[in-house]
Amino acid sequence: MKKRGVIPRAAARQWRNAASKASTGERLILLALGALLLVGGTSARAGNLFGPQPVPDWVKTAAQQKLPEFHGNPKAVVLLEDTTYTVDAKGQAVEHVRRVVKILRPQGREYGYAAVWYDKDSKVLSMHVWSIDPAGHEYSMKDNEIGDVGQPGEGGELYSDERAKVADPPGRDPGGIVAYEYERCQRPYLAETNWEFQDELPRIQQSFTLALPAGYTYTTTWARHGKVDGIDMENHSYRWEMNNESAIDLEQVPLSPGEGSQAARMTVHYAGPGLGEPQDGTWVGIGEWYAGLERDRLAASPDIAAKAQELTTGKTDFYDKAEAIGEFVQQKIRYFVIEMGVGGYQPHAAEDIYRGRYGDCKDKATLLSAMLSSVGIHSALLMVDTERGVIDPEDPSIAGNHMIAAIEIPAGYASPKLHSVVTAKTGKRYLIFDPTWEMTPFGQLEHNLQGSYGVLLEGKDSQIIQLPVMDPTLNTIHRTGTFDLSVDGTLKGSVKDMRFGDVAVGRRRVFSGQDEKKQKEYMNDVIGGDFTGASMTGLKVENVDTLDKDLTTSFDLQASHFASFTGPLLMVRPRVLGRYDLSVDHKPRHVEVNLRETMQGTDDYDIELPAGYVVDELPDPVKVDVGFASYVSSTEMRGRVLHYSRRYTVRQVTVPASKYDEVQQLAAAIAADEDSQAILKRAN
Amino acid sequence: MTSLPGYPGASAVVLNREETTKDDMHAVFHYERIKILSKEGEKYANVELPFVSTSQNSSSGSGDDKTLEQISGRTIHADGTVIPFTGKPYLKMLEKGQHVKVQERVFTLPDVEVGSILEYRYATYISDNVYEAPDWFIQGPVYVRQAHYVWYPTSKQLVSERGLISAITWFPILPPGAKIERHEIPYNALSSGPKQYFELTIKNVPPELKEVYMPPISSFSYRVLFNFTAERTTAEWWRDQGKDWSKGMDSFADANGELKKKTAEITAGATTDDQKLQKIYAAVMELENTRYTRAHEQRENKAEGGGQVKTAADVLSHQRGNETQLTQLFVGMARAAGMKAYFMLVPNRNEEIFVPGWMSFRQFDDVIAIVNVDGKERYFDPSSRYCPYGHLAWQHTLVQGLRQVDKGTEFGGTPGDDISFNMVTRVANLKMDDTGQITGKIDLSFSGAEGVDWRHTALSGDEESLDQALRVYLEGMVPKSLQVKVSKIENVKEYEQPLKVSYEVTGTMGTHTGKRLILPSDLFVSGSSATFADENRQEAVYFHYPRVLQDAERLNLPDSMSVEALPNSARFDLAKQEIYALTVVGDAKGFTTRRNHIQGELLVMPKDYDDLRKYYAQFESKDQESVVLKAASVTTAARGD
Repeated sequence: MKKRGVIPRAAARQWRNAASKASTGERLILLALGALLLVGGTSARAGNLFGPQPVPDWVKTAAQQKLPEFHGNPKAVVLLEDTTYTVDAKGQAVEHVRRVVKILRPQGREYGYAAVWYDKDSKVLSMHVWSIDPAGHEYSMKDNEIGDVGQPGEGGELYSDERAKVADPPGRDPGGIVAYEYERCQRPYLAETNWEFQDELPRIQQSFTLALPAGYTYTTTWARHGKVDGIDMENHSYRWEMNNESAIDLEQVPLSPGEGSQAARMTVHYAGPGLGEPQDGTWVGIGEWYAGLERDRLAASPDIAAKAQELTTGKTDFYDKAEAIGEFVQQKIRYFVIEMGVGGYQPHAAEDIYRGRYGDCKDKATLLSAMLSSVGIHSALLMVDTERGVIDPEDPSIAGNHMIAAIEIPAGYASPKLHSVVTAKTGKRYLIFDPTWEMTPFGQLEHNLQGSYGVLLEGKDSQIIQLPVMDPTLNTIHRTGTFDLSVDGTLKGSVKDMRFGDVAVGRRRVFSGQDEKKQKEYMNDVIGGDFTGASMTGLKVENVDTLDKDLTTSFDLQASHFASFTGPLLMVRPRVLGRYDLSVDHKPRHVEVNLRETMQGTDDYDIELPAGYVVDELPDPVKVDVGFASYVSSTEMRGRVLHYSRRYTVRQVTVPASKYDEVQQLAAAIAADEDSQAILKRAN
Repeated sequence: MTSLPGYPGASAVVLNREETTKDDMHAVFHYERIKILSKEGEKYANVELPFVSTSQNSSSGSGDDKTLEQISGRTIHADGTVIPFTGKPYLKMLEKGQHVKVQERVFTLPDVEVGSILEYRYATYISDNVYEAPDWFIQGPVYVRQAHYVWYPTSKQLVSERGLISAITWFPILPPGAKIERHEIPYNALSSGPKQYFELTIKNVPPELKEVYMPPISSFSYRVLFNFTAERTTAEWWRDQGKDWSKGMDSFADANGELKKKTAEITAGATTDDQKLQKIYAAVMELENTRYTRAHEQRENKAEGGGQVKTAADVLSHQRGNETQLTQLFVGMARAAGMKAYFMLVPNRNEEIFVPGWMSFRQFDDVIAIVNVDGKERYFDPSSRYCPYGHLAWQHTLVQGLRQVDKGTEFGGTPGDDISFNMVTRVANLKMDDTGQITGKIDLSFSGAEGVDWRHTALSGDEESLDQALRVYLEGMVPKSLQVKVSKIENVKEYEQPLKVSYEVTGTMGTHTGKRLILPSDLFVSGSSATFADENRQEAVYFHYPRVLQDAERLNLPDSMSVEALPNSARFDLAKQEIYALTVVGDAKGFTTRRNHIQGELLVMPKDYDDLRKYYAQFESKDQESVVLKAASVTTAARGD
């Protein structure tokens, strides 16, 4: 899914590297004798006939303003950002932006690059860049000093036509000012724009002006900010100002939510004569717009129908049919992204996806929908964002970056296998499934989407829905171990680790995708975190690709120096293997706590103690229940066996900042328990 | 074929690779045939073919206008079904500068599944008047069952900046048995085509090896790198290229009148070469090294009232320079002060090892200085700001490189440092109260390489970022229940002194049982995990530099607590240069831990890995031993032994 301008600083650095390659690359290029003569001579260089423009007054004015006191110590500050969004009578919009940034700290140099993203439908019409160094010298950049970068392929993305115009202005030092101004056409198929007036830098003065042609109407919706009415500037122009916005600084915040889930924004939708895709600022409006994009893409070709029939032959149950098709699309359609223009939003035709056996998230969801429809199961696409909280129920918009599927559950149907279920306002129930996430069992939902919102794209029934949070028992680790402790402190025994759900994903990936050497290294790292001199033998892994069964890892373990002598005492850690520690700090908390996922972990270890030793003291039992999570552990003697058991349960994916002290309490209890020791001494 | 014998779990295998370079067509033809063995291997169906194209420059004639074309491909299923690639290869512009484009042709092959064979071909073309010697990179992440490389060099007379091309040379890194074959092409009066060709057929190439603590051998994967040269031998090439390099360096470092005047001012009062050089070095260390800040453009220099940076004197005048320029300034001033001073090109030992057989200056990372000080050659690294006088950044120690001598250049080596040069000390003075709360101070001191590293961290940021980095560094070592706050940082700019950091510490430590409190014996290593978890090793273990690590921790207890039991003292040795010693001594008021670790080995061969791993496991287990405290009324303080 298309999302603009996510890495401007990285892009600018990338361009800088390109310039460097050009100047320092050592490539042996040789010419045939005489060739130099043929290419000799010089030619006039094309360029701006009148040269670059001097630093404009609006930049100088912004640069001269007195800075307010900031919360924290920001690396840079946005002194000015004015956006004018002008829609012409044909509905085509052009965005004009002026931005002035002051660098405050050495690390703020990163914010001194100018970057403007564009694609084939959103050309940059003009771009000018200026800077003022800390000593006050002014610079204007020439057109040929502005570079161009594309998106590097990441996460399966192979091609996107998104690129950025980037510049590295002089004077990009603490105290320096960097300013740029650009005009960019807006994508013609959108009647929505987002004014993102809050990010990682404080912003002193900023405005958004909307200029509409006669006969046009608009709406605004707001995410994480109360509604503000625009000032009527006459002639169908409206202006909003949002000054002295604080930064969202999560860099040093443990268990932090994503920046996108905290940033305020305003979304503008508009409608009017001549506009192909008018928007009214509702979720239904978005759904109807998307219906136009997907309409021709969902058709099930004969090949698709035949495959769906083949997969569901002999199956009569709704779940069984949906699962067979869901797993086919999940496992057999390779994730691969090609995005051009509207292709950032519009899926390819189901037939093409099926034929090539590849596609991106919306392609996979589309093919799934086509296949399901051919066996009589209705489904809809569901727009979500992989960062929990970005989609705000109060702010209808197309801000999501991912597409999954909502499969309608027949009325009255019930099955214990249905977990990720949502009931829409229409009363219809949907099973939420992400065919792109290859490691989540059908019927469940990956943790980063749980608790977030998604746009159910059902035409006139489109609506915002909250995705369910899975029960902790659907995301589990269960470790067991039986060991003998010898008198020299060596521990020998066997371990069995069973895990299910998202907590198994990392390990499933290693054992399904890596070679045996990497697998061994991975497991050695697993035990290396808890033992300083351990060796593992007899590694056995089961159900690597069977997502609806526990991934089971079993092995034999020998760990020298596991128990240590301290004077006459022998110290033994009952918690043999595995950690659940939480990273917390001791600062006041202002943002919600991201616990990431619900889960339940249980450990049971038995250690047969060496002859001649008796227990002098055992760790105290631990029992903490803070509502959103609980931790219970106990250590006891069962004859000659030291038995340790614990259960850690996380019931919520996020916790309000006001409960941070409880998170700290939980973290302290877990950390202390994990390091606790049983004390043995020689029997008299 | 469903798996690769000897490489269980391999995701794919290159069954065949062909790469044919035809100079007279200005083209390279590529063919790849890959078998997919696992789901992970399906990623090889996404093909990204990067290429860098430089534009033809009418004034210099440089630039290759490279293109990548003629892409075709297909997927062959295990049952023989063939699915041709009918899609469109996309041209992706990654970076575009004034005269350079970094691009990719990207495409994906259809209907790929485990067991499929992927096949694709493509060709790259360069301008008609440009010739480029090929580089054959043979080894990669996937096992290669067979590869065949051919180069038909042009028979035309070529010219480079250095004159007429007189020879073709190559630098091969190949497994035993593989060799380049040169074939003559029979004379044909009607043809002006190639008169010879080079060929390499190679089979069963294992994938590149990756292990932790690897020596810098990534640039030593199997490969053949060809060169057109105007020289007849490698020695001649280095001699001629070295001469040009040397001339350029000397020209910039020219001790002109301005530089001599400034040098005289800087060295005023010094009587010996060493004293003079120390003053010169200190003056260079004062200058901004733009590696840690930002390179400035000519127009910025001009705006500040300065001119172009053409000489070392200009660097001094601008009070900043890049790494090479600062070394050039140092050498220029040393020469101005009457000393013999030389430049030396060195690789970065963290990434590269210099090999004379490969005729390329790309092997070198930096330039260091060699100065004859009072009759003895000494090595300096002014490019590494705040490196102590007379020392090199560790990346430049113990390496071979290309150095100036009185009559040209020759290969030379750089010295290493004594083990005591790189020293870290960690001292904790803590006090526990009746409630178990701990307060106190921790002092860290960094000498040598780690001191330089921290100073570079300081140069790249500001006080706050340094403070934060140092806090995070200590938090990563001590128990999480302790809160640390940086209270003082000393000697950031005093590069001859250890960099010192003081912390205030509060919080709790250890775990309780009913009547006891169990504490880590050395809080600096209490959270560490196994360094060498893997039992097997294929490559040597490589440590960056020798170093000494010394810990001292004193914990004073409240009257209500006393020491019940302590770990025994221990000393472990490995070979001659690795020593670990721990002592924990208790008394009526608390206990004191002393831990020394001397890490003297740089390279441990695979045959000695077991001993190394055992040694590390031994002392890392010792590090995890605890001090046991209990209520004072029932205790008897005891030494661990």
